[in-house]
Amino acid sequence: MAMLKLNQLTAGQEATVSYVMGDGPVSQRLLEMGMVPGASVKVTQLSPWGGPMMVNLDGYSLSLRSTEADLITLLS
Amino acid sequence: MKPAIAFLGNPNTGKTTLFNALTGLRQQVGNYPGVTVERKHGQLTTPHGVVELIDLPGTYSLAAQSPDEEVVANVLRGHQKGEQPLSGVVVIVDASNLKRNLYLVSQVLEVGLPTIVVLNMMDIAKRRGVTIDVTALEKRLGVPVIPMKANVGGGVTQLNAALMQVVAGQIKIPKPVGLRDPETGKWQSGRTDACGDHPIAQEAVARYNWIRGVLHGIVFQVPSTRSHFSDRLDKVLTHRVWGTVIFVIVMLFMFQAIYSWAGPLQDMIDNGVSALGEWVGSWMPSGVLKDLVQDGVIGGVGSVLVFLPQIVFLFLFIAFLEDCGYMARAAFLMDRLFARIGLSGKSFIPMLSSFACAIPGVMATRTIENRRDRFVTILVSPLMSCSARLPVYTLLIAAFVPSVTWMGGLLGFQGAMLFAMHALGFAVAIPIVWILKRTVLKGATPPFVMELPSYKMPSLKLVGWRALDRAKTFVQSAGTIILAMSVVIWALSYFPTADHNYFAMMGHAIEPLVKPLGWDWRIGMSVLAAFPAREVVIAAMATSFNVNVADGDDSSGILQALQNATWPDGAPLFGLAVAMSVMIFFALCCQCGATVAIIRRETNSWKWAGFAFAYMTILAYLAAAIVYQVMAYFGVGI
Amino acid sequence: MTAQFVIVGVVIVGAVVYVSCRLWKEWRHSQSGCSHCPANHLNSKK
Ligand SMILES: Nc1nc2c(ncn2[C@@H]2O[C@H](COP(=O)(O)OP(=O)(O)OP(=O)(O)O)[C@@H](O)[C@H]2O)c(=O)[nH]1
Ligand SMILES: [Mg+2]
Repeated sequence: MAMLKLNQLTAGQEATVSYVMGDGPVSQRLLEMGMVPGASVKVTQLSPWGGPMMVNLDGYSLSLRSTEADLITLLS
Repeated sequence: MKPAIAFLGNPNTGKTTLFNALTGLRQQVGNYPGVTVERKHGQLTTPHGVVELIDLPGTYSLAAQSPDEEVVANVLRGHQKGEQPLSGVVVIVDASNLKRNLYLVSQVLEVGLPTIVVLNMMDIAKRRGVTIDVTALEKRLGVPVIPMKANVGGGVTQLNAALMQVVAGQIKIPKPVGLRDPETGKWQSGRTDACGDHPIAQEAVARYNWIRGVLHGIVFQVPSTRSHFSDRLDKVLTHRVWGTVIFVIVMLFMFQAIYSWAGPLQDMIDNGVSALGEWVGSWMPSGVLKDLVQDGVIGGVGSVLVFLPQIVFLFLFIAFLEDCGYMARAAFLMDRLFARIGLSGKSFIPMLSSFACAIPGVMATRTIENRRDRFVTILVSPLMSCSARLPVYTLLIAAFVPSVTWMGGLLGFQGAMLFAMHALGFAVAIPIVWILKRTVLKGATPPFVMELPSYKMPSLKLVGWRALDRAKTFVQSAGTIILAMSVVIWALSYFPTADHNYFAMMGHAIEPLVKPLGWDWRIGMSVLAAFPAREVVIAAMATSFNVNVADGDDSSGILQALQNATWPDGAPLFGLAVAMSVMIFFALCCQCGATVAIIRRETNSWKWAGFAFAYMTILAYLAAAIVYQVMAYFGVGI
Repeated sequence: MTAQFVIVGVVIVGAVVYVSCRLWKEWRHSQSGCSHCPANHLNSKK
C-alpha cells in the first residue's frame, strides 16, 4: 500500500500525522513544532509550481515547502 | 551581584512586550517570529532591590539550530560569555496555542532553575473559545502559572509578586519531567514502530505524550464552525496572483502618500528654517561668523531636517506592516522566488527590515540556520533602500520628475518613481544572491518551515512609538554628526578664499572620475562626503550649490538651486538623466560606516565587510554610469 | 574681526574632533555586542 504524504493532500483536506521521516534538522524541527503521531493537519492553502503550502497544525498556521511536506507520512 | 532572571518562550508569544512593560524600555516588538534576535538587558526595581531581566530571542526548542536560538540555550545553561548564572526563568507561553508551547516548557523544567510560567495572550485564547483551568495547570506543572495580557499590562502585578518570590528563594526548583529512563537513557515514548528508531522522534513523542497528559481535562475548547478572520484574509493576501497585485498597489499608495501628505509638513519646516536664517541675517554683522551660522549651520542642518516628515511617514508604515502580521506572509509569498535562487523565504524578513535600516536587517539574519545562507542574506540586505536614502530620492524626484497624479492624488508619477527606486535594490539583489550561492557561498537550497502568526490590529501605541523613536534619532543626528559634518564642509568650501577653496580643489581633482556618471565636481564631492553617513549629502549639496537660506522668496531653496545649476559653459547641470544616475548610485552604494561595522561584527571577518563595501560601490558606479550614458545617448532627460 | 576668526576656528576644530571621536566611539560600540540598546544600535545613546 502506497503511503499518503502531506504533500499529496489538496486544499481543504484534513488528516492525522503518522510519523515524520528522517532525523535531520528539518525533521527535528517539524517534530518539535508538533508534527507528532496523532496530530491533526489541515491544508489551508496550496501554491502551484513549487511554492510553499500552508497548513493548520493543531490550531496554528504553519507554512512549509512540498519537499518538507514529503517527510510527513499520514494515516490513511 | 544583582539576581538575573531570563524571559524565554516560543517566538512571537509576547516576551518583549512583557519585558518592556516591566522595565519601561522600548525594545522592538512586532507580530512575526524573530523580532528579538539577541539578548537584551533591563532592570526591574523592586522593594527588595534591583533585578536584572534578560529578554531572549524566541525558540521552539532548546536544541538550537540558528545563532539566535543558540543564545537562548547558552544563557539558560549559564554558558553565555559575560552572563552570570540565572536565578530563575520566566517561560512565556501563548495560551491560544498551549500544546506546542508546552514543548519548550517541558525542556526548561529539566534545566533545574526556579521557573515561572506566564500564560500570555489570554484575550486571544478567550476570543477563540479556549478556557484553561489555571490552578489545575499549576498543580500539574509544579510551578507558578500566571495568566497575562501583556499588551495591556493585565497580570503584571502578579508576575511582579512571583518574581519577588524567585529573588527571595521561595520558589523551589521544579521536579524534572522524567521522560527518560534513568538507566538506559531511552525516551519513554511508548512506541516501537517505524518512527521509533530515531532518538529525535522518540524525544518529541515522549514530550508530546507528557503534554497530552498535562492538558487532559483542564483545557476546554468551544468548537467553532466559523473560519477565523485570519484564514479568510490569507485566502486573498497570500494568493499567488492577488497577493502580489495587492502588495504592489499598497506600496504605490504608500510612496505617493509620502509626497502628497508629507509635502505640506515639509514646506512648513522649510519656511521655519528660512525664517530663522533671515532673522539671523538681520542682526548679525556680516563677516565670517555670520557666514558660518547662516550657510554652515542653518543651511546644512536645516536642509536635512526638512525631511523629517517623510521619515516619520515611512516608519509609521513600516511599523504598521510589522505589527499587523504581514511580514511572515511576505516571506511566504517570496519563498518560491527565493527557492529558485538558492535561499528560503526566511531571508526575506531581514531584507524587509533593511528598508528601515540595514543595521537591524543584518542582525535579523541570526534566525537563519545555515551560515552560508546567512552570509548571503547579510551581503544583500544593505542593497535595500533604507530610510537614509529617502531624502535624496524625494529631493531629486521633486526637482526633476513631473508631479502628475491620478485618482485625486492617490497615485502619481513621483510616487511611482520612488517605488521604483525602492524596488531597484531588491531587483538587483536577486541575481547577486544567485551568483553568490553558486560561487563563493555555494550550498544547497535551505528548507522553509515557518509559523504564520494570526493577523491582528496593530497597536497604535507601538506604531506611534516606533515613528517617534525614529524621529528622535533623526533630529539628534541632525543636531550632532550632521551639524559637525556641515561645519567641516562649510569650512573646506570657505577657505582659503570663497572662490578658490579646498572643497573645489579636491572636487576638480576627482571630477574626471565622476564625469562618466554625468556629475560635476560639486555632485561628486557631495556624494563623497556622504560615505560615512548618507544624510550628509543633502547638507553638502546645500553648501556646494550655494543655497542661500536667507533669501527666502521661495521655500524650496535647495530644490531650485539644483534646477538652476549649470556647467561652467552655461549648459544645465541636472536633468532627469543626472538625477537618475545620482539616485541609482545612492540606491546601490554602501555609503554607511555603521553598516560596514555591523557586517564585520556579524560575520566576524573583515573580509566580508570589505567585500560588501567593494562590490556595492563598484556596482553603484557601473549602474549609474550605464544608465546615464544610455539616457544621454538617446537624448532622454538631458 | 579677529575675534570672529577665533570663534570660527574653535568651532571648526571642535567639529573635526567631534566627528572623529563620534565615528571612533560608534565603531567601538558596534563591535562590542552591547545588549542594552534596541536592535538599531544607533538609536541608543548608551
Ligand atoms: N492580543 C494580545 N497581543 C499581544 C499580547 N502580548 C503581546 N502581544 C502582541 O504579540 C506580538 C508579539 O509580541 P512580541 O513581544 O514582539 O513577541 P516576542 O515573544 O518578543 O517575539 P520574538 O522576539 O519574535 O520571539 C506583538 O504584536 C504584541 O503586540 C497579549 O497579551 N494579547
Ligand atoms: Mg521579542
